[in-house]
Amino acid sequence: MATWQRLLKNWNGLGGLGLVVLYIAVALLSPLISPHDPLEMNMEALLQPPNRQFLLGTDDYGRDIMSRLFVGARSSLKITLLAVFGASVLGTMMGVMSGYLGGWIDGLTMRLVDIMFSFPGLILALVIVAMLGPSEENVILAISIRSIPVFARTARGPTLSVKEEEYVAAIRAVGAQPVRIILRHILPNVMAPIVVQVTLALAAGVLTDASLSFLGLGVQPPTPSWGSMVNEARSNMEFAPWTVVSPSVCIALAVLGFNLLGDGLRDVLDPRLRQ
Amino acid sequence: MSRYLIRRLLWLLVTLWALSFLVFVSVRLIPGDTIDLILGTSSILAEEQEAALRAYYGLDKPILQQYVVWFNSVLHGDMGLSIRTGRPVMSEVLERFPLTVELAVVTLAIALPVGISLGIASALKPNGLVDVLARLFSLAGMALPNFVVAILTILILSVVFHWFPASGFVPFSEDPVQNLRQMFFPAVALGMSMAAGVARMTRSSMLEVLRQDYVRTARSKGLKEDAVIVRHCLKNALIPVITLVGIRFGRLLGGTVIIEQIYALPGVGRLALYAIYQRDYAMVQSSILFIALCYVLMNLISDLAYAFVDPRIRYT
Repeated sequence: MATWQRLLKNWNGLGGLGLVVLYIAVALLSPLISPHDPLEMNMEALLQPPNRQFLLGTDDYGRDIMSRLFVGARSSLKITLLAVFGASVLGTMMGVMSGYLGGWIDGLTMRLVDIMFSFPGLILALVIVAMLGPSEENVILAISIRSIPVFARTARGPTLSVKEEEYVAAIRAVGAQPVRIILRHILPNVMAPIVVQVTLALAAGVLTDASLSFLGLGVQPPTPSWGSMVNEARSNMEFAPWTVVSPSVCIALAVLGFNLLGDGLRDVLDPRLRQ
Repeated sequence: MSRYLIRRLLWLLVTLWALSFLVFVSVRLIPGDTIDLILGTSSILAEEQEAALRAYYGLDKPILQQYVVWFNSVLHGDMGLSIRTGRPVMSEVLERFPLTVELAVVTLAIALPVGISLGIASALKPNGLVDVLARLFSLAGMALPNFVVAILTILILSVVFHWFPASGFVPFSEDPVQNLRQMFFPAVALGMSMAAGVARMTRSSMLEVLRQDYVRTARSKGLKEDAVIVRHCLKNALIPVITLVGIRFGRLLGGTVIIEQIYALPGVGRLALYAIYQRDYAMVQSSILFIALCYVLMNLISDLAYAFVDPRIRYT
């Protein structure tokens, strides 16, 4: 409870939380708040600038941009949340196991993590999506695989330091099972950096998703997605700049929101740990 | 120091080998191989002819055997033929790699000075005008994807200044000035997020260094502020920045794929992208391996620079 209050007092946290809440709200409520059908083509209203009927204008198929942005929010949120949730669970488990068990298991796992890090992120995502075909599920998989090493590394650090604490040795001497030690003593210390990492991974996930759909390797048309909207708008950029600007601003605000939230959480959570 | 270097080089080789294996296997797991893609859905060739074609390219053998054959030829300098163009893959990659390397170098040459100067200026007057602007720039740089920056730049230039990107790429050897002009905006788009991250890290690192006792000593000795900053603060403040650049370089390389596509620059990134679209295995492998090699080398360089700058690392 105290954490929440402190987060709200922190400028970064407040701004980030506001943007993230807005993003989630738009994504969840998109079927209710979309003024038009995002797939409906209005042939008599092609490439219209923002006006009373179409608040953010229309694209080159006469589709309402605002409604497409709302549905795009839903798609990108779903992809990013699922990917990062999966990655954080798997990665944390990997990091904690690796740190706790130590020895060759730790060595091997960390070498694997290093190799996974050696791949530039987007390239890895490209190969995975190219391998399995462009679709929502494969983008989720691609983002997830990219994020797992980050969580593994983040979880390993605190695990190693807690493992060395005297009270852990004491508990082990009394006969506590490793599972209990991990759940009761290691995980609580790992949670704070992992939570911060989750928000940063969500920001990166939105970026990767947008980049993949920009390259045509994300959700396929006609389902709207912010990245592909930017790509489609390229050819009409000079005389219809609103088609490019609105999805770009959406992407930027979503990424910014998660980044600020992560910063705020880091400020709020970490100094407390140091005490 | 040399033991550290040798260990890192060995690790580099291991990493490259593992990457080559991963890329090789994953590319071959793509459903539908190159032959399928070339032939399409039409059945121009009879079954036996298709099978013969596959056998000719060695595509019918088990994956591990294909890998051993491929690895063997790589050790002899032959990275295979592009199944699409029939040309050696090595020559296609080598033709394009100077451009990608030049793009990366120009990007760093713009992003690093901008980021570091902004970070230092921010740290010297916290919460001043420069600091606020720099922090806004950092936020924007981190939030905007590189393709958005690229497109918005093209949009602003073409609509406001009526300047259109030149068509046709001019190599550096032909006309350096024109070449650098063409590189400028792609480098800005690619480097903005690097500059933003560097500015942020430099700022927090400088702030921490400025708090140190030795800085107070230097000032009380009567040293001019410039000398204090350059001689005592900068080297220490830049240590975490070096590590950050090494890590972020990967994102930069991944970004070349998109930026080269947008600005129609014939580099390795674009080559890799089209190779993926076209299922050209040999090309995908080599171009991705090349990009990964650049990243791993850059990490090695930044690790060595880090070890060089921070004496504490050198002797462990």
